[in-house]
Amino acid sequence: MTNFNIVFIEQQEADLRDLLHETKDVEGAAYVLLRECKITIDPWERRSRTKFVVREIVPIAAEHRVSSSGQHVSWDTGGFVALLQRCQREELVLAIAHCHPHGPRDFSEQDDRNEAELLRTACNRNGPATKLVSILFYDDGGIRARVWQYPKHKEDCKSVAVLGERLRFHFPTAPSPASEVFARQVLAFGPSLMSQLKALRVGIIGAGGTGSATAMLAARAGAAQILVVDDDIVEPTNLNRLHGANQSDADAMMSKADVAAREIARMGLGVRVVPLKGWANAPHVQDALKSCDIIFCCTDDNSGRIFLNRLAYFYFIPVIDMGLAMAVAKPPAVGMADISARVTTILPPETCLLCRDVVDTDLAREEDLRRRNPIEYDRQKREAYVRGEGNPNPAVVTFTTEVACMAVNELLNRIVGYRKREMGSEHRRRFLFCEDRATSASPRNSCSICASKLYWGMADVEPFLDLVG
Amino acid sequence: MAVLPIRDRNYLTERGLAFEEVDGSEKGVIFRDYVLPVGRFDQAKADILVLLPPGYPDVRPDMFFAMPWIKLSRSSQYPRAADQAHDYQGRRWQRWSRHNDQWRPGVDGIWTMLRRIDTALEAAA
Repeated sequence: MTNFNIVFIEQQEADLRDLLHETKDVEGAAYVLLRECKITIDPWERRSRTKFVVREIVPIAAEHRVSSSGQHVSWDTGGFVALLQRCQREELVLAIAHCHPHGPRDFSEQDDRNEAELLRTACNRNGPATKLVSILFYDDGGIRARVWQYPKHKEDCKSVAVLGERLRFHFPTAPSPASEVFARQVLAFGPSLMSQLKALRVGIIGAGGTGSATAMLAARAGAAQILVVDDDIVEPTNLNRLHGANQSDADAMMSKADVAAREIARMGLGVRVVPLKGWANAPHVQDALKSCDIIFCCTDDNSGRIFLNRLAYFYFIPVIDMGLAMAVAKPPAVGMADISARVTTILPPETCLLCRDVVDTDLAREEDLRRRNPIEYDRQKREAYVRGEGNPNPAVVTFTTEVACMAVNELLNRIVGYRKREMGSEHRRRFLFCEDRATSASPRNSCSICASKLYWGMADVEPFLDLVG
Repeated sequence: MAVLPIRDRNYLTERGLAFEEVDGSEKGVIFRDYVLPVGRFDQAKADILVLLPPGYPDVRPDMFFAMPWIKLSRSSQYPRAADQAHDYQGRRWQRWSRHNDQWRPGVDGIWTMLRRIDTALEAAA
């Protein structure tokens, strides 16, 4: 028994929907090519899981279409066999998609028979381990999917996600009523927000000033499965801004991730929270990150950002990245030169963090060198090949918490769409001027991450994220 | 175990360039018997090593390394900033301190590094 999910980005789902609804009130069909994201142990379910990431939508060629009506669609399987060949070559999983314009909202007995036959063809061609996925779009806009495996085993996907300006998760079963704890929030945004948040697997990378605030806010908003990743321990100088931490945590050198998890557990909201000590790109963290539906990037670590930047495009995991700049004016000027917050959401087709110049790749190199080989780092520092650590940045709890609020509000907006106009994928708050701005950036020419579709939905690949680890 | 990214591997294969990926705590790629500019050095060929930092290709590689050590034919001297050693995989490589702050993350790859190596070898000679 495995546990399956499917993830689309909005444009793919829109393209597929167009193909399926090409003729009004008539069933349509198309192929979908998927890549697998194999999760060894989902941190919350404690068992393996497979997420299928949509790589490409393939129309059924006109010459292969046989007939269609409001109740059926049939086509010649010539194209199916050709795609099976491609699937074997490129390690893809083949899916067939069709619609029921007038219901039912479930697969029909005819679907069962047809799909069992297609599975037989697929297994004969590509071997008994071949999976076949079937995706159904039904009349009220819902989507459900199932996975067929040799010989005739079929299993419903736990969810089909469509991610973009809005984050929509389709579940095969009706949601359970929201807890009365959230009654006042339901008054604002309705019950569907709660069911979506409850199902989300939320990763929080970094549990410092912004991360600890994000973790508390996400839990109180209703996220029910939270992963907190941080390699650091609580230090006395953190206590001015670390939500939930106290002096005894600093004395006991508690891990920041453990403190955040403890405080969330103490809320009594039924959140399943998993703390992990380590860097975002550590091998033991990778599997847990692949399991997330959304990630908040609350680190100021450049190599962590490089890693999460790619994760968003390979696995269609939206990464809400946040940054806070606080700069004291240089004498003789006095006061603050800058206080500004940035929240950027990355997911195809948005521009990546590298093209936005949010990441300092040279600093990333130095941070990694310092962690992995401190002797070589010191040597290069002496030879002036690395810049070395600068002075600590100023940090004030109200501002670190405000950027966390902006980030969690971004998640809420993407689920319920409360904003009156689209703000794009990045916005900045300039505290010195009481000003909010939406900012945009274009990809660099031929950026392999965001300008080309090379990596979009690539999912599992060797080396991981096509990156040297 | 693949170390190099797909585009790098495809490029090197298409160019027919022999390469060896080294997996370990410090990852790298070695170009065996890399052909040096004719008549300019005391070697016709050398192994060239490029170390691949974590985060490559978004993070730039830095220097490159040669084995055996290469001297200029004219002067029998080591080229400028190429007289320091770097131990890697049990061998003491000649470090060519050639740095690059022009790297374009998301765009550049091993082809960029090979161009830089060729340029550095030409300039040294």
